[in-house]
Amino acid sequence: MEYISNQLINGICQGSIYALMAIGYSVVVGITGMVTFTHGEVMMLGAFAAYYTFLWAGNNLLLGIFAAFAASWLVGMAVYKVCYEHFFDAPRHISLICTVGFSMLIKNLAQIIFGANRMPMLNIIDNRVYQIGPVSINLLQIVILAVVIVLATVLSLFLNKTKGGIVLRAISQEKTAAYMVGINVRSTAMVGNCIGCGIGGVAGMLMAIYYQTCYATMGGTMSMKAFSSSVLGGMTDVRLSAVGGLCIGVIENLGITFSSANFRDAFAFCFLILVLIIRPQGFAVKKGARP
Amino acid sequence: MKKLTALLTVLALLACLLAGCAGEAEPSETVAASANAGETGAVSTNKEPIKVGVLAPLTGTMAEFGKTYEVAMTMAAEDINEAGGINGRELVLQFEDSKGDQNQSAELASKFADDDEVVAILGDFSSGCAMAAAPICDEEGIVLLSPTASNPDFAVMSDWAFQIAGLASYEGSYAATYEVGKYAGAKNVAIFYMNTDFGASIVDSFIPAAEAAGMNIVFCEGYADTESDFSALITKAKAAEPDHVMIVDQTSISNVINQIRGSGWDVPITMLGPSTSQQVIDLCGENCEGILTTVSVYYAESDPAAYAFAQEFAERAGFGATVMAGFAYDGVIILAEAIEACGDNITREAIRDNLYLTDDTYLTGPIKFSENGDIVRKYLICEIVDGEYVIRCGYDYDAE
Repeated sequence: MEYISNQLINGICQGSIYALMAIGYSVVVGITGMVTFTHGEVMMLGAFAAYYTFLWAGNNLLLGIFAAFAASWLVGMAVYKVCYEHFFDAPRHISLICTVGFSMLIKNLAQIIFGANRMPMLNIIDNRVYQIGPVSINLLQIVILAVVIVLATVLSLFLNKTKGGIVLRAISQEKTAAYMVGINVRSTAMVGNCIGCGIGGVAGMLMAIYYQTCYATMGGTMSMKAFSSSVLGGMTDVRLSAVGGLCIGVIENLGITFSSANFRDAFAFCFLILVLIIRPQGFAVKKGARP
Repeated sequence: MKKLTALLTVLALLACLLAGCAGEAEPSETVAASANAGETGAVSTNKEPIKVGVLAPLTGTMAEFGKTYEVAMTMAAEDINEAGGINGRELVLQFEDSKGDQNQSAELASKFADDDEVVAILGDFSSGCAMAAAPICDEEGIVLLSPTASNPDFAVMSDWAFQIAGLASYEGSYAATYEVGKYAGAKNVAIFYMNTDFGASIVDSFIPAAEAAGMNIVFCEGYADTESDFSALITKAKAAEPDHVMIVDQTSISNVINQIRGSGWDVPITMLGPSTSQQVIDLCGENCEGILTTVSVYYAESDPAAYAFAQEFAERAGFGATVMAGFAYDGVIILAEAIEACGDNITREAIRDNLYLTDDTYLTGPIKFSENGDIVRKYLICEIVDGEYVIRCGYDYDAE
C-alpha cells in the first residue's frame, strides 16, 4: 500500500509537470488555431532564463518564474511573427512545418550559445522529505504541485472571468466573427500565443528545478508528452489538458511499477490511442471544442 | 500572400540548415587552421596533407561527448603537426556529425570510405554507433578505431575495427568483484542501467560476477537513454531493500543520483568510468559525496603530462576532462603512429597491420591490442570526497 501510494505521488508530480506544459500548449493551439512544435524549445529557453537569473540574483523562485515567463513571452512573439502571422489564411500544414523548422533553429542556436553540456540547477528549493502517513513527499514535489495548481487556477479565472480572457476565447472560437465585432484579431492572437508560451517557459523552469539540470535538448521528448496530454484533453480546453497531463503521468508511473521503465513511452501512447479510439474528441465534452 | 508564405518557409528552413552546417563546419575549420599553424615547424610542407575522418555526435543528446572528441582530438592533431606532422605531412581531421544516430554513423562511414583521400576513420563515440559503422568499414577495407566504444562485441566484428577504451565486460566484472564486493562489501545490490549497447554489456558481465562473489541482485532495471524521471524506478528499487546501488549510465547519471538523494534515500552508490567527470560533481553537488567509481585514467597532479592535458582540455572545452578525453587523444596519437610507420606508401591495409603492432605507454596507460583489436585496461577505485575524486585503491587491487 505504501509502495503504491508513493508511486501514485511520483505519477501525480510528473503528471503535474506534463499538465503545466499541456496547459501552455492548449492555450497556444486554442487561440492561434494552429499546431505548434516549438513548445519544447520555448520551455528550454524558459529554463535557461531562470538558470541565469538564479546564477546572478540568487535562488529566488518568484524572480525565476518571472524571468522564465518573460523570456518565453519574447520567444512567443518571435514564433508568432515568423510562423503564424502570415499564415492564418494559408493551409495549416505550412505554419506547422514552419514551427518544426523554427524549433530546430532554436535548438541548434541554443547548443551553440549555451554549450552542449548540462548546467546544474542545484538546491533552488531545499531538499526536505516529509512523511505523511504512509506517503513520503519532498518539498520540491509540493512546490511544483502548488505552482501548477495556482497557475492553472489563475489562467482559468482569467480566461473565463475577465474581458481580456473572453476576447481570447472569442478568437479561439471564430476569428472572422471576432473581427466583425471589433476585436483586433492579430494582436490579440499574439498575446494569446505569448501567454501560452510564457506558461510553457515556467513549466520548463519547474522541470529544470525538478531534475536539477537544464540543457539545450531537454525540450524534445517532453514536448511530445505535452502534445499528447493536450490531445487527450481535446486540444483547446485548458482544464481538460491539465487532467490529460496528470493521467499520462500517473499511467506511466503505474506502468513502470508493474513492468519495466523501458516501456514508459509505450504505456503513455497506448493509453492515448485507447482513449482516442473510444472517445475521438479526447476528454472534451463538446465535439465543437476541437479546432 | 502565398509568395510571402513560401519565401518565409524557405528562409526558415535555410536558417536551420545553416545552423546545422555551422556546427559541423566549425571543428574542421579549427583543425585546418591549427594544422596550418603547425606547418611552419614541419620538415617538408610541399606534400599533401593526410586526411583522417572522425565520426562524432557533435549535436544531439550526446553533444557534450562530441565536444570532448572535438577538443581532445584537435589537441592531439596540433601536437602531432607541431612536432613536424606525419613524416613531414600534416594530419588533418575531418569531423562529421553523426548526431549519436546509428543510421547517420553508418552513412558517414561509407562516405569516408568512398573518399580516397581519407586513410582511416576514428569513432564513433557510442558502441551502438561504432557497431553500425563497423560492417561498412569491414566491407570497404578501412580502419575504424573507436577511442570510446567499450562493448566487447565491437572489435570482434571485423579485422578493421579497433577499440582502446577497455572492454565493458571486464569493467563490469571488475566493478562487481572488487568495487562493490571486496571494497564496499555489499550483499544485496540494485542496478539501474541505461538500456544501450554500453549499459547492457556492462550488466551482462556484472551480474554473473556479482553472483559468483556471493551477492544478490535484488533489483535490475533498464531505462531509455532519453529518460529524465527516475522517481518510479527509485521507489521500486527501495521496496527491494538493497544495501548498495550500482548505476550504469553516461548521460543521465546526475539525474539518477540527484533523484535518489532527493527522495531521502542515503544508500551507498557506485558508478563506472564513463560517468567519472567533474561534471557529475558540478551537477550533483553534495548529493554525490561518498560515491564510488572505477577509472582507468586519473589525471593526477603527480603525472605532469596527464595533468597538463587535463588542464588544457578544461580550458578549451569549458568543462573538465573525463576518461573519454584521454581516450580520444590517444586514439589520434596511435593512429598517427600507425600511419607514420607506413612510410611513404600509405595504404589503408598497411595502417591496419601497423595498428596491431602498437605496443607502448600513452597518456591513458599502456596500449597493446589483442588479436581481436581490443585491449584490457586496469582500473582504480575512487571515491568522491569534498567535491573531488580521491583514489582509494590502486591498479593492483585485484592482485592483493
